[in-house]
Amino acid sequence: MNEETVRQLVGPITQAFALLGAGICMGFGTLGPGLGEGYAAGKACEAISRRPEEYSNIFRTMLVGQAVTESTAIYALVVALILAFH
Amino acid sequence: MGIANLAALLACGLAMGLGALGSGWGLGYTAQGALRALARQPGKQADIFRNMLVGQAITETPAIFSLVVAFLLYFSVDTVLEAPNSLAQCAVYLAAGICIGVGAIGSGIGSGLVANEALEGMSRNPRQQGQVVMLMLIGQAWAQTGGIFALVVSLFLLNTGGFSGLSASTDWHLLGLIPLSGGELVGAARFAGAGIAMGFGAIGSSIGIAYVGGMACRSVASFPDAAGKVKTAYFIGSATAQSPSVFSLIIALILLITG
Amino acid sequence: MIRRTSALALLITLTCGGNAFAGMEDPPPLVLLGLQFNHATIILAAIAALAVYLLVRLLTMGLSRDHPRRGQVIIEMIVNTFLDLTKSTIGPNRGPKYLPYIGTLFLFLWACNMLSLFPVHNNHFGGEPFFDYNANGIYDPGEPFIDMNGDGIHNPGFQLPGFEEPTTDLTLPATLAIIFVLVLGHGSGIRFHGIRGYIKEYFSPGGIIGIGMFPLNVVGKIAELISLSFRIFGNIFGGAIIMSVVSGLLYYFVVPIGMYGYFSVFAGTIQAFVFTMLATTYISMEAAEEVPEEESI
Repeated sequence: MNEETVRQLVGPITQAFALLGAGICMGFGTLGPGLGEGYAAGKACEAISRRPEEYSNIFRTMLVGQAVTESTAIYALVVALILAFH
Repeated sequence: MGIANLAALLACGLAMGLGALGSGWGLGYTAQGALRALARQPGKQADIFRNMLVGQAITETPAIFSLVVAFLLYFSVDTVLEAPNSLAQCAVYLAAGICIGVGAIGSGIGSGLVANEALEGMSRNPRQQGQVVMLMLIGQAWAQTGGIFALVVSLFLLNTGGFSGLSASTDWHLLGLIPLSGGELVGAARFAGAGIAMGFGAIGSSIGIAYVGGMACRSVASFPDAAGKVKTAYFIGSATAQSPSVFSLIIALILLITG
Repeated sequence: MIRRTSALALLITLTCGGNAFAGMEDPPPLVLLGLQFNHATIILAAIAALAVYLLVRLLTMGLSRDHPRRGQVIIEMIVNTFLDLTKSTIGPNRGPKYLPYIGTLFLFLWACNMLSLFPVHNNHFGGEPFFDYNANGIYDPGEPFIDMNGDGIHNPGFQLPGFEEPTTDLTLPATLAIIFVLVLGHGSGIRFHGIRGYIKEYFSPGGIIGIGMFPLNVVGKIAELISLSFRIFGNIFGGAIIMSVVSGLLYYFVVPIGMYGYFSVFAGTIQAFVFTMLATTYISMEAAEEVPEEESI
């Protein structure tokens, strides 16, 4: 492999690693939020069944908690989009 | 036989092996729930057995998806003769196998978790059995949505026959074996990235939604008076917990389509 | 209910297979108005719909209040199951209105999944014969063909499909998902909440977050369709692959009855029920009654 070929391949290799990085970022970045949001909603179901009269409070807390948990997934999405269109 | 055929065989094994892992785990969870229920209510043996079989039939779904992709990969070994030796084709096969294999792990475990809680709930409150079975079926089906996204991406990958942006010229050889050009490297990374994004992205959401489904089954069985409110929280909570896997699907499709 | 059931079965027959998803390799699809029609799926879906119609007609002959026959008991059981399902998910008043659709959907999908139990082989009619073995007696599929009329193309003729589940073609589940979720579900959403209320759902938490959530909600609605149709397609297709592989391992000499019992009868029924129940759930998300707090048990 001569120097000319290497210079030609730098661009494609960079793009290839960016695309692969986008995939890895999105794949592993959603592991945590998915689990966490599910855990929050599951506990909310349990709490509502025990205290149905506190329904609106529990439900609102669940939604806010899930929205905050989701923000990490959105970070991953933004970074993956940046990498995909690199 | 080119190197892509070897990749297809490897991917076939990966798809079925990883897919069977999750489903097997989930089937065990289901049986565990049935055994606990049986210990609590020995008189309800027929009902518990029937519901265990129903739960296991649905828990097996991710393994069957893996089997579909594994067989498609196996059958494509002989038929693809156009570019049998290219890195991009290797990436297509491996990504399809990993995508459905890893994506099925979460779905399998999740379906088992839901069935476990539901069977135990049924034994706690046998009068609510009908409602809990309905919730169990819905919960299992929703926990499998990630696996279904993985199946969609795998079939999409396997159907990408003539992808664009691939130059036929050979610039250099990888390991002295695989002819490689810049466009092909980018294509291979695109396919691999799509497979990894959807495959691993399905795990978290599936198990998370399964946890919600299991808790909903348990709550409805224990406190039937609050069933309506619990169901509302369950539907909205699991719809929100679904969104990470939808993000993954979006990124996977963007990676596949923009190529 | 019976008359509406049969009318809907015929409607499904006419609409299934006729959409842009179809793209099968063999036999060549019929092309009409730019849409591809896979005639195997159309014929098999028609057979399934006809079977449902005849079965329901047969079971409901000679209904009596005092001395119900066996058929009447079976059909009453089915109707009661789905009446309970619609009442508990959609609501006690609106639910029974959806019963004919939901019941027909289940019976039709069930009949589709049971079709593989009939061992009818692929048959060609009126075409040129086709051989998998070449002149030297070596297995060589695709290459040797008999070209009788000398046009250089092998004419397979009209192929009568073997009895396999039409649900192994993605066309059928996708069409059913579109009919039941998009037309019936979202249609009733518009009917009960009005256009404004329907669009408001897409900005669901409301406020600034709602505007950000709009694309996610749209993708979520599309994901419903994808997951509903691919679920039954993947399951039934996988079952069909397992059956054919096991039959091949047994040299087509022994029928694996136990595996047919599990994958065809048991899993087919369960998947038909799951499809029906999820469709009901998706409809109920749009059309559910606002139940007062005390009654929501």
